[in-house]
Amino acid sequence: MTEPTDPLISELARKLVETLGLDMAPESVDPAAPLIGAGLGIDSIDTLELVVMIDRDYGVKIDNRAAGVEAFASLSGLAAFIRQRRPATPA
Amino acid sequence: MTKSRPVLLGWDGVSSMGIEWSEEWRRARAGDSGIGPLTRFPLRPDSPVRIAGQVNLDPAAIDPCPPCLRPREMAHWKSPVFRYSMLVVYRALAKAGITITPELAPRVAVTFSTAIGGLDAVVDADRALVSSGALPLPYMNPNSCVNMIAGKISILSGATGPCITTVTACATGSTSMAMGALLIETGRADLVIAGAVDFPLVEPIVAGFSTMNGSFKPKNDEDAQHPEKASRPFSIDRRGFVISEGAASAILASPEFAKAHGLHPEFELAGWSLTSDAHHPVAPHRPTIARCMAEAIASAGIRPETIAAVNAHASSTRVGDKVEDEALRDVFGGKVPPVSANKSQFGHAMGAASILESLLTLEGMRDGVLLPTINFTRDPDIQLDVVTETRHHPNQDYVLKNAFGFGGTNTCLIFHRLV
Repeated sequence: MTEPTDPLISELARKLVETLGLDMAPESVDPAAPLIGAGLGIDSIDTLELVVMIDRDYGVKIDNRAAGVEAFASLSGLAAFIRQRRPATPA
Repeated sequence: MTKSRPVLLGWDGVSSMGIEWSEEWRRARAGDSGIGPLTRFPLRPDSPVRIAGQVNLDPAAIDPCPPCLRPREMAHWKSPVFRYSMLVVYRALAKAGITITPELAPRVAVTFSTAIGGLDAVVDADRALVSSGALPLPYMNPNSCVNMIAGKISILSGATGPCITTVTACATGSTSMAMGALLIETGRADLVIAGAVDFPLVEPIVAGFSTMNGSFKPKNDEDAQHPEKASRPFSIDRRGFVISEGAASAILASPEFAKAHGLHPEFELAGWSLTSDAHHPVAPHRPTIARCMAEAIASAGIRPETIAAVNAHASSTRVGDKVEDEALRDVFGGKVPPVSANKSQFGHAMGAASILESLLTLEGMRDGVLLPTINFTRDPDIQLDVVTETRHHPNQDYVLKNAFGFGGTNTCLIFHRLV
């Protein structure tokens, strides 16, 4: 497992664990592993909560299937997705 | 035991007096109070309500933490009504010794209810929306859906029979048991998960009870400095109810179910009645309250003089207690049995109050005691035998439990000790 040294990845890992009440430490989330349909047990309801959290906290909308696939590919993928679309002034 | 009368197999509750039922019962017998400072939200300098009965439930502090309270299970369920209700149902089922198998599931009903539900989730979301434009989380609506608690209990337990929410304001918990009895008596269920939960310590709800002169208002510094003395049902100096949180569950079953499973229940719900006032939105109405008590007693197949004690609704308001006193005298004449008012100790847990008080009634019947009505100073206009100290009172074969709610809805229950 790659240790997330990117501060945004660390922050997202913490929010992921807190928002979904995952029984694991944020630092143990593998940044390269798929977020959905893999070992984390994240389902469609959880995904809706994450979509709203990302919009609220980063001002980035995930409003179609293709964006969802890209955003939730992995934690590092989500960080890249947010960086690419984040407004110049953080929401 | 009459054939179709439901029996009680197990129960549990959390309240301002604690989160372990045996401890709550011990404190109740000791004459304690669960009322203290209101800390659920920052109080404004002129907040009219500053005390409450709060449930101190930290799932992380429960060892072992029941699976239903783990952070992953509760991640989307921010309203405390879900934590409280899942815990009491989980424990009540365990105490009943029942596992709901796929074979039993279709015959298991849920009548567990709430008066206010997860309204706190809506208030929080509205404040964020208004102040910053933040959209609500997707599960805000399910948190506030008033029958979601029953739905979650169905998921938790596996029950797939009727799942109904018996919203009747402050009578909700008793109505939950009465409707459970109806399902059992009419053969629609063999087992019922009854109960109620409420979390009314939400700023506008709290303030609203004050502006309508329902909740306790301190008269002087002495009142303000002693929360434990504020709840004074039936007293000359009663000044409204103290708002509390709470949840409780009781598992009802048909006697045939209990027998088939080798269970030997101590109590049955021998009679019940529901009446409606058709009179006033919030003021109680003597004739229909009296009729509710009388019908409940008649449905148990007994006469009023057989009732050993009364667990009162005891709203602690001027008019509420006066009308309950008058209605009791209508039913019992000059021989009203001794009366206990548990709201003096626990505060008023809204929809959960009557189920919590029902469970206290059962414990009192088992132990042969009547709970004290603390903070009592006699009102010359109320002639009831109000129990003021924990009283030895054996042989409580039948006890009447009253509950009345906004909307003019009344529910009376008769509990019968079988052994």
